[in-house]
Amino acid sequence: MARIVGRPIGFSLAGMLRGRYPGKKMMLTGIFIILFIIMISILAPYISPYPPAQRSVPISQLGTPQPPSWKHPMGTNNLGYDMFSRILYGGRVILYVVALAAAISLGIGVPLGLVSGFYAGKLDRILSVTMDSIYAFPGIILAIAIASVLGPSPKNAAISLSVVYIPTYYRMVRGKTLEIKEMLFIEAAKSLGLPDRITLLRHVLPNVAPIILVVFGLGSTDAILTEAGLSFFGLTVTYPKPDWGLDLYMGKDYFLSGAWWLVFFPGLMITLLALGFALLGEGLAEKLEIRTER
Amino acid sequence: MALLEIRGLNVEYPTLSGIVRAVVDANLEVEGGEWVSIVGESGSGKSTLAYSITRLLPPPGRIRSGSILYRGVDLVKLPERELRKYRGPEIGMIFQDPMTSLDPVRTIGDQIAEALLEHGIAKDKAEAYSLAGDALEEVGIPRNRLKSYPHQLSGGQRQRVLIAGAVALNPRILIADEPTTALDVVVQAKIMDLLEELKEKHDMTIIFITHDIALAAERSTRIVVMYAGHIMEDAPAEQLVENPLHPYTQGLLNATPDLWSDKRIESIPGYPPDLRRPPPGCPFHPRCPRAWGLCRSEKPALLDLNGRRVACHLYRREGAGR
Amino acid sequence: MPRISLGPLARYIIIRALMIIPTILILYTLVFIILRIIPGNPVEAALGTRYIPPEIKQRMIEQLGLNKPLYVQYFQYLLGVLHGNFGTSLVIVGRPISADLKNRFPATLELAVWGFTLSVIIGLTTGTFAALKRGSKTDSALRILSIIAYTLFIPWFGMMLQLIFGVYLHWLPTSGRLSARVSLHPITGIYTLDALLTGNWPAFIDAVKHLILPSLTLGIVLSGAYTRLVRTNMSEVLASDFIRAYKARGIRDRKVLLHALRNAFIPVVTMMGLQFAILLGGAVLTETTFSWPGIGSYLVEKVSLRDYTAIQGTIILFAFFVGLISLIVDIIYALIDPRIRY
Repeated sequence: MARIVGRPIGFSLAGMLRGRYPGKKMMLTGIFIILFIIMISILAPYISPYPPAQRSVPISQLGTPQPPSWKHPMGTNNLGYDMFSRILYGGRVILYVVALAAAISLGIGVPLGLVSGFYAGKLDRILSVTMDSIYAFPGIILAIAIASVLGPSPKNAAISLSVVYIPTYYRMVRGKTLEIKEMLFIEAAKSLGLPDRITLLRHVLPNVAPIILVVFGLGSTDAILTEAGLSFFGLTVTYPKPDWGLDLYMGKDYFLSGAWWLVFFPGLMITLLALGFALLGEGLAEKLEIRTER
Repeated sequence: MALLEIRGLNVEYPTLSGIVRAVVDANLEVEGGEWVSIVGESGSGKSTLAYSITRLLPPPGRIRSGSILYRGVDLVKLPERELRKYRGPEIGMIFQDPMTSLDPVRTIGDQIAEALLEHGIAKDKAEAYSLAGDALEEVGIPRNRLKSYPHQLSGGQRQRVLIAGAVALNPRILIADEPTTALDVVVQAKIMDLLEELKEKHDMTIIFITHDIALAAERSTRIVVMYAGHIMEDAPAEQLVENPLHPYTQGLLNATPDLWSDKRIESIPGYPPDLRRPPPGCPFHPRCPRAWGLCRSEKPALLDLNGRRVACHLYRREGAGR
Repeated sequence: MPRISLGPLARYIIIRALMIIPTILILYTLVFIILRIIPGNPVEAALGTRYIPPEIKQRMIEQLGLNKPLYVQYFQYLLGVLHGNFGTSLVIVGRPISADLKNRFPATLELAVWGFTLSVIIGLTTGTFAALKRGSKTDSALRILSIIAYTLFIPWFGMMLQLIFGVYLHWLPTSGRLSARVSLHPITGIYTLDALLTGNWPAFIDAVKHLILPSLTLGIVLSGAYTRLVRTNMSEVLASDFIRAYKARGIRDRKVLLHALRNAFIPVVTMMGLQFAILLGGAVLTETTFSWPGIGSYLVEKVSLRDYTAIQGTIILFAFFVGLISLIVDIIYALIDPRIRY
């Protein structure tokens, strides 16, 4: 793993498309899936055939979910909402929550990991034990508890997710920092009398960056599935706001009597989004020769 | 009929960048009771030749053509299930790295006894363990070590255990692939003594693979020199050391430190060829100090010269060049 | 000389057990803090707009010790938990949480153990298969499948299985633990075990039928990690010298493969603690999807009721459970790997 050290990380799109490297296909597929979902979420107001939370069928059909048809390619639910429109809109919340959570976890987990690994003192020990304890606990259970206390809202869901995923970033960054610290060139930087801040930013951080990217890919996979779980339990938004996790929950009562389209499409989108990040993370890990825990 | 007869053997490793021809047209006979050492640098094909005998080539290695007759049975054509009966009781093997050649999570007794049961040498577990204990004692390890795990033994002890595991099955041939390379010099000598002792006691034939021609010279009855997948020279050990015929053998001997003379050590200049694109003619010609025209165009055949063999144009019957 | 003399092993177990205490304490502290974030107090928050006479409200607050200083609350509750007392419900006033948890826990344990076993079996077979076929089309297909398995959203995957095997094929039940027509005398609360203990075959088969879909959901989703780890380890082990040495002694392939598996399995064991924790998280979703009456679905029910003492108790029970599992994993690891020194 020492091989990561000193390798320049150029992630220009052109560079990624050119040449052959392990994990390329996975990485590009992952990026494609993620971009596709981001795009439909942005364009939802312009491309969705109906408003996502308004009756789109005649009153006579109310109360009975309608199967997919030309007018409603993904069917309608008992309230007559068009499922296709809800699918197009339904990624907005989860993308927002996960992006916000990733930003918070990165913003807290990475500096903590860097400092903790670099100074390796009493603080480091306390932090490590705390982070390891949270890490070893089932993430979604903790997130449910926090979200239930904070109350259902996208922002609170993001905070709950952050508490769960800060340890993931922290652990990886701390481990890598310890490793790099031992390496000679950091010693050299120290003997030159550089302030620690400069050493951390100029020498440690660039070498930790690849790991952060991989953790971002794989950590976001977990975050998406956890956030979908929070949505599923009604801890992110309230109906009728379009959201894949919530729609899946609402469809739960109908699909056993045959309305498969109410659960099939929302769940598929969640899995697809998670798969996008997983492929990105795996591809990156392979390209950067980083062994992952999962 | 010889005990082991290798005829026209070709072994290759297909790789992404081309086919590596690790052994080329090898012919070799081994008589019962011999100690034949196969000597060569790494990549000379000496280990590949040895592993082809029991078809334990590391993937993607494969035997392309040729036959390996063990007491008249062609091991190359034998189905895997049949061949298994030969591995161990007929042809045993010991390996270079004793640290990694034992299963780390099983006791050494379990590992030795398992093979005794597998081949029906022992009727039941109790007998297998008692035989395994005998085998350990024979190599100088107390039998109460049967319950030890590999990590509780030193490198030399582990090699002894491996030897015990092979010899317990009473093989006619023991193939030893650089068994002392990973050990320090004192232990090395002891292991060599042990091998010699066991060879006499069990009337075994030894095929000894080594890069160290001096080590080979100490105990062998015969030495076979390989280079770039080819057998270059094959002679009784004493003759080969006293009077090496092939320039490559001469180079190897010159590169060996001699305790009793202050002769300068000269290594052979240059590097072995890329086996995916071997040079035309004699594979050694680019490094050979005595190469001449024919060496660059025609591959020399392995010539018979009064009980020894050499593959070099210097010894063509016409007497050219000398 | 014997590897397992009781002395060092017992000491090892005790040390490992002690190491779990800080983990549980930290989680307890975290939960304690989180639940004190609620504006006002948990009683007010749980009651919401419902009207309750002030004197009863006051009694609830006193009963829960919420009028005492924070550090007193902290240690009082902790002491209670150590005596099996998880406090009383905020919603069904006076009902002890521990009674609910005791009722519900066996269902989660049963589901988790079955799901866990399935995930290990699936992971071991697919991983070994991929390693044996390394570099082939099957290998890369299994690799992608293992990634997909991990990204399956559990409620969705569970519902798809319900749809196929329950709604369309009518092969398996889609919810609950036991059919209404089947009677079973509970002993441990683990139905498959109880059925076996009482020799009640119809109940055993019925309980297994109910278990298949939920545990398969968990098993498949959790198997991906094992598939990949086993594949990597198995490829390394199969190329190792001692496997070649086994073959050189003429050991039959099936046995050699078993020895290889045993070696490849050891690193898998170290991962099991963390995997089990992830599985428990998945169990919360699975239980909700399959109306499985375990502590996972209990947690979700209490969340919608805002029964904060019940939530606190459930989380702490989960923390103990996770700690216990990691202790068990450590012990198994020490027993199967002779190289571990304790």
